[in-house]
Amino acid sequence: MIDIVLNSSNADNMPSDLAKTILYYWQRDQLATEIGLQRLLEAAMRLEPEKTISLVEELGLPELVVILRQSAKA
Amino acid sequence: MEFGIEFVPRDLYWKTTYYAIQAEKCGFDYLWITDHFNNRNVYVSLGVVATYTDRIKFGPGVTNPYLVHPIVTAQAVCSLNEIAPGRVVCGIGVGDRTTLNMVNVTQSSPLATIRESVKIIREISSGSDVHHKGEIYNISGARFNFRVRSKIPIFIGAQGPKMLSLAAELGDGVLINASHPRDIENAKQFIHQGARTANRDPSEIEVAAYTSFSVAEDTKKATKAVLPVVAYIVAGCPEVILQRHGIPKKLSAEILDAISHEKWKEAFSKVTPEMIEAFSICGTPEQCIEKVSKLVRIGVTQFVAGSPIGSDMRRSIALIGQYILPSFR
Repeated sequence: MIDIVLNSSNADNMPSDLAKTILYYWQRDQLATEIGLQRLLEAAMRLEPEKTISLVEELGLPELVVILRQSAKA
Repeated sequence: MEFGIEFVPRDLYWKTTYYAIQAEKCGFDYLWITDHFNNRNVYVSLGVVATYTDRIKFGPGVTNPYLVHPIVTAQAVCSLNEIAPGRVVCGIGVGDRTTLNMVNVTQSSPLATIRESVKIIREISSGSDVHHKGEIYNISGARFNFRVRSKIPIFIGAQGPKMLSLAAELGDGVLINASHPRDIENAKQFIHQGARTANRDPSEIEVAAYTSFSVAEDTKKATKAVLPVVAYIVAGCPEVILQRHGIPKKLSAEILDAISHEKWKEAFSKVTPEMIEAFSICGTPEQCIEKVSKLVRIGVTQFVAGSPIGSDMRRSIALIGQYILPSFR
């Protein structure tokens, strides 16, 4: 998921406070924790919603896919 | 043997910082951020890096005294040193001609400019009042209103014989802009010469090879990423260095012409395997280890993986951390 964020062509849309939160967790090796992943997912959805949903589908998390699709529509 | 990595702050600040944190986790010792006015400001970038890292040393790699007065450079690195005590270094050189040309700044009296700049940075950052009347600068009683807690090592970027000697005379380290053992060997004789002039033991001077570097799982990918960088190097390369590597001046002129007319495809198609060999270190981790080893054997004390690093920055940093660094430690 970090690759989706780093390689996104919409990277300019990343809010600075969210970027700093991600850096904070990355520095502390907490990007793979629940809260770290939440922030990463939030960033990925902001920058690349379709790619992110596809990735979550590949990971076999259908319930999360439904939630993400709803949030993408909203 | 120490390892450094160079970032160009063309990317958004948070990407550069993400990679800086990754480089620190992978075991890099130094992070160098380039200083060109048309990219993001080097000290702003380093300030963020300072906040999100804990161990890695960092500094401008390299700043130049033509656009930034040495007193301001000293102020910037000393301020950074408050955020990251003992981790800040200062790389200084004559700068990049192409970007300086854009603002009509000429690299006049390079040796005197660097000599005086280093003296000024060193004096003011050691807490002294600076009184300097030189060929280039005239300073009467400048001092900081804050205390600098530790010494800032100064690395001098050098390529030509006179600058290499001066760097060894004055610097804590020399950043040699070269990737090939032949160029480093050649540079070392001038470094020794400069050290002798200053009655210094050459072994106390850090010798850093600041290379064009690209690593990937397969050679083709790594080479493709480094190709544009090599084209630019060849286009701006002094004839004596081209000759050292058996590259015809005519070919270099053709590449320069294609670049200046923005004919990128044509320029890059003229880059030969010999040019890539001479002006970069690229390939698979195994191939890179072999090439870095040659530099270590001739006395390089810091290897700097410079731009482009690879086509996929995150993956390339991971490969260096996983395979290359451990084989030298």
